[in-house]
Amino acid sequence: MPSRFASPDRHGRLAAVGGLVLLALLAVSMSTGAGHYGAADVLGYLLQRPAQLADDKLAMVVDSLRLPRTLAALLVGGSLAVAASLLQSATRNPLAEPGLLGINYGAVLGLVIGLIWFGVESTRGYLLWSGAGALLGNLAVLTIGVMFGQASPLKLVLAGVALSAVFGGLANFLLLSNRVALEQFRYWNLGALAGVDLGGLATVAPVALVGLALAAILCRQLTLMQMGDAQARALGIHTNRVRVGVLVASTLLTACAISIAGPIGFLGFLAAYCARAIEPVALLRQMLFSILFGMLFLLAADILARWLLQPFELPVGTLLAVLGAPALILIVLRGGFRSMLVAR
Amino acid sequence: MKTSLLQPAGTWRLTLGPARLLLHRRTWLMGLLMLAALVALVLAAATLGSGRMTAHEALLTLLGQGSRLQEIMVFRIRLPRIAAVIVAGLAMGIAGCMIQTLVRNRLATPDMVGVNEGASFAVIVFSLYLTVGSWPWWASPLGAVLSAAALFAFCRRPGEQGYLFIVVGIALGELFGALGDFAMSTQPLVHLGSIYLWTMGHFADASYQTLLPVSLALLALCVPMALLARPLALLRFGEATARNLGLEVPRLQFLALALAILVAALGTAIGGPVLFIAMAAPILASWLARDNLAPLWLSALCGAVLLLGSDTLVRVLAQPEEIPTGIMTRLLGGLLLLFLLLKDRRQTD
Repeated sequence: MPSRFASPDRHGRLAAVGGLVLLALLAVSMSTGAGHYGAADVLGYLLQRPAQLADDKLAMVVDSLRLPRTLAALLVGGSLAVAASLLQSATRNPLAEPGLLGINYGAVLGLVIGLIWFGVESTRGYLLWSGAGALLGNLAVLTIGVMFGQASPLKLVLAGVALSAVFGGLANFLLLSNRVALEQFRYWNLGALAGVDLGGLATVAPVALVGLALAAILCRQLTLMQMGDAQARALGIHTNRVRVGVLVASTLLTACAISIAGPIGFLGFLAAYCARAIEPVALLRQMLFSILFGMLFLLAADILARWLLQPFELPVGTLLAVLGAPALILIVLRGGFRSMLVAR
Repeated sequence: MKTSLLQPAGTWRLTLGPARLLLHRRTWLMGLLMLAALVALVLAAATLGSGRMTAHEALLTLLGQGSRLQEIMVFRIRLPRIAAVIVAGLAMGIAGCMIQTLVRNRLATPDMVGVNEGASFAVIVFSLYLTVGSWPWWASPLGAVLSAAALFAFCRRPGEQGYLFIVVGIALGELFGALGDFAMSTQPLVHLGSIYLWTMGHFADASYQTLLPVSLALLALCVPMALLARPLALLRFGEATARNLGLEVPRLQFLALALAILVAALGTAIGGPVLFIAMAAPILASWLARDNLAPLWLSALCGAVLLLGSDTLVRVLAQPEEIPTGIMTRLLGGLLLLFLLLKDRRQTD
């Protein structure tokens, strides 16, 4: 079914432009940062040119700094964007995303429990514990979403504030008795891509792929569920089964993002919002655009974060909050969600 | 009981010469009850703690008949904290009640509209980079006014039932919160000293040095509050009625909101942003008074009782350690907010 605004042509053009911008950002991301190496050096190294291969320092810069960071931006950006798109259509709420709904803090709580009581150190442990916490947060959010039905989506965000308060309070309570963990946690909690390594990425990537695949499978049913549960059931869709699927996929994707980069807010919301502006109905297409925007935004923000305060670095989570909060305010004031501001 | 126009049912009439005063009976009884609860809590808070003391000894010490050690424990350590908690609780109860009444939304409180985060951000920046030695409590109202100005600049009106305020406020809160966390992350934990705990709502370091100027400022704000009390009471009959009675409604709303935000910021200045007290106090007050719009003073008392209760609970539960009070209010208040949202759904849908 063709959507209201757009012809497939326009979508193709937009996707092509987005892809080109993404490529350009990838090149910038690989050729800026600590170590004075430009694009030519890095390209030479990646193409296995002998002159550049011989340079140990270049190898270090690319293999342990720039490449993991760039790949992490793609993985985390795509995961958070898809998680937000899934949650937005499952709760029928344009403001839904892991950060605003308190799921991020659920994952943080899980991770803190793992850190303090079980001495977790590996990326796999991070993934496991933040996954358990994200599951808790997702369960709470989806339960509350079902209880609210379609009434006033804003209340879901208020519920997110409440969940963040409870999860964050518990996490802080546990951390305060352990000053060493607190010192590590404080920086990680801002959300940053610095210090990611390729091994960790390799652990997380398959899980993220499973989550993405599940999201792709759910798209068709979720598209039909936008008409309402009763309609969808009449068409033979097991709505509860789809919700469980959303729960699992969103949990996997959030856990992946959190265990690599820490809690990052607003990214998923912005990516999913832009994607919905381009394709409001067909979810598979919307999600592909959402992935594209998620990667674009996070990569751009990460480049900016490296560049703004040189030689220091701004955590990308802080930067996204600084850019994302005004964006949210503008969207709300432009009347994007007027229906939502009225408590029905 | 005889009722007349001069004395409606459920009220007491005090006559002092030509002056007559009608007192709402249930509200005043509940007020007295809350006052009694507060006194009991003060006694409990003076008694409990890591140093052992019986209630009798604490009472004797308070009356000036304790040993030297007991006097130090009560007057130097526990009493400043109790006083700080009570003042902060009173301020939060008042601010919460004013904003909720004005915006006509139970969920619109200083916690929700980003004022707390703005205040914390200003205090963090000033204490880390701009002032040396002294505690910049005055930065708190500064930051609150800044974030409130941003809020007013973005949305001139509270929106339908204040929901526009709340969304924009949440976004502003995220913004200032992220900036504050980042400012703190540039310093090692040791250098941060008590600021880190303060940002979570902590009263262990409370001293009269901060408490005194804050209390004076709050007392000074009581004058405009008393002047606004009458027009605000009229506003309860609805905007149209108030306008017919000759009130300039938008100006009144703006003044009252500004006042409430200042009071909230001063309350925050003492022990940091203790979330959800400003939301829970007016709710408790109107539940006690069985009136949708509880009076300010009852809400203030409820705020003091709630905060002192949480603070004492935290001190007793976490005894050898110091856990910020704000963590307790965050846990309990978050659950309360969830409960309210779910209850609200049943009413409005």
